[in-house]
Amino acid sequence: MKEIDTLFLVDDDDTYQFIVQRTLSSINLVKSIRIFSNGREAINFLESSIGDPNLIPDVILLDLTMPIMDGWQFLENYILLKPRLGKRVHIYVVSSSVDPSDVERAKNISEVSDYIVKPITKQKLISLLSSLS
Amino acid sequence: MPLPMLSKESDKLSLFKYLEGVFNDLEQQKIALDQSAIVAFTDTKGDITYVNDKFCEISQYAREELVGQNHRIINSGYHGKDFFTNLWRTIAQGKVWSGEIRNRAKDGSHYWVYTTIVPYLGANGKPYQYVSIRFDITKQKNQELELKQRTKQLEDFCFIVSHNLRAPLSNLLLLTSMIKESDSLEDQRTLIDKLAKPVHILNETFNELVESLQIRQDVDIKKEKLRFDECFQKTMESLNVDVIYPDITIEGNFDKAPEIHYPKKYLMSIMHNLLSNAIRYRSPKRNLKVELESYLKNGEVHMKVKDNGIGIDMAANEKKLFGLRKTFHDNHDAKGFGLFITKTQIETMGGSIYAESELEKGSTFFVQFHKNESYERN
Repeated sequence: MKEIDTLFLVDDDDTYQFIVQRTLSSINLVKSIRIFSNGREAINFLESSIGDPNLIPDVILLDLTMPIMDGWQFLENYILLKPRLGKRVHIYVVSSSVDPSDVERAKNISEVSDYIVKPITKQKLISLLSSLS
Repeated sequence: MPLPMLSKESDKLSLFKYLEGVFNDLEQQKIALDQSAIVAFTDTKGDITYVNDKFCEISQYAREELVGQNHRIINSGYHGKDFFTNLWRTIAQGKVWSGEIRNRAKDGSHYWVYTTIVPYLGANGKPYQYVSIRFDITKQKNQELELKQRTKQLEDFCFIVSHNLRAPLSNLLLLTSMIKESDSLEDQRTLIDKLAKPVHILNETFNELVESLQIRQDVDIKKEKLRFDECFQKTMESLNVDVIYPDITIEGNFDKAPEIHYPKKYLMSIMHNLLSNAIRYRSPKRNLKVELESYLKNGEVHMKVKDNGIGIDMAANEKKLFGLRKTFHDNHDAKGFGLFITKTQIETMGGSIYAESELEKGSTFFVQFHKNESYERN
């Protein structure tokens, strides 16, 4: 099984950040993980990393409800950046919202690979990541 | 009545009788219609040629002010351009149009009418005038809009339950399963420490949920005569502003409207939430200054709360400002509940709240406490 190089976690909940980080380090499917507390931080990083494919992630786990720049706004900005990234990025929306309009909206964005309702368990993470590698 | 033949002189008399009967019937039908419906005739350009008494009554215009004017005189600006394009296209083709229209009376108030427009067709098959027959549905429409608003509020509640409770709950689920799987005591300790925060969030979220649910049961909450300065003083004490935030200036000016008839619990809560909102979103670049002011506008008591805080990007957040789902700043403590509760309380009492804001300059919240009676027609 091939390892995934880089995973971005974009979520403002620090407890959840801790959980994902710890789970990922226990399953050895991802080499490095970067954490951003809102969409703006992640977009800024991506923008400054254009031209350096090593810094561009393979997978992004994206929350929807965040301060400053939420998941939807992140996706709008990401779509504009995408042509210049030079790499296929798999984006998974991981949210606490079960609102059907959120699910529908995410499914209509072709950049979003899937919509996952929290909690994202260890088993879910493993099956998700191994399907990519 | 069958049309009589006109072969004989005597038949002319029966024709006359017949026509008299027809006119009489028409007259009776007109009276019946005028008694029940709002009626207007317009020419093909939409200029009014006739209105009945009910039309004058509901629109508050005198007949002389209406006849000769274009029908646009009562347009409320509520419906889009497409709405009227479709209406005109339909009737210009000689077809009947019907639907619900919001109109504007002379005093600026709005009323809803269920409208049927029937074209009068000439010999060439083209309309030469239109009659509109309307019924006042303002009351039903307002109830419908209120019901929609209630449904929206209920939906919002489902979102808090699903989102704001699910987030800490799913953290707890994951952490507890990690504790179970861990075989190091020290590691378990670290994980147990992590439980405190989601438990705390869960508890606070739950308490706020209960508080906002209570508002809905408070329909018959007691109103009393309150002095703004007294409530302001108590709010300042409960926030402990002087002690906790010595650099903050909060001023109250209630000379223009010193008193209000309102539930005490709500006024205190509104002041408390608006002030703590201002404190929470103060700018690190300057000392916070908040000005509270009560005043009269259109004879109704209003209050505004102006701060010089970090401001809100209204273009991006206007619709979500009083909602449940979000906070607007990089502030992890803010759960964005306070303004929702405030809005719910104000709306329960028939009032409204809105905000004006500029990033890096500050925000002003405007509260109208009661329904503006002169604009209500129920």
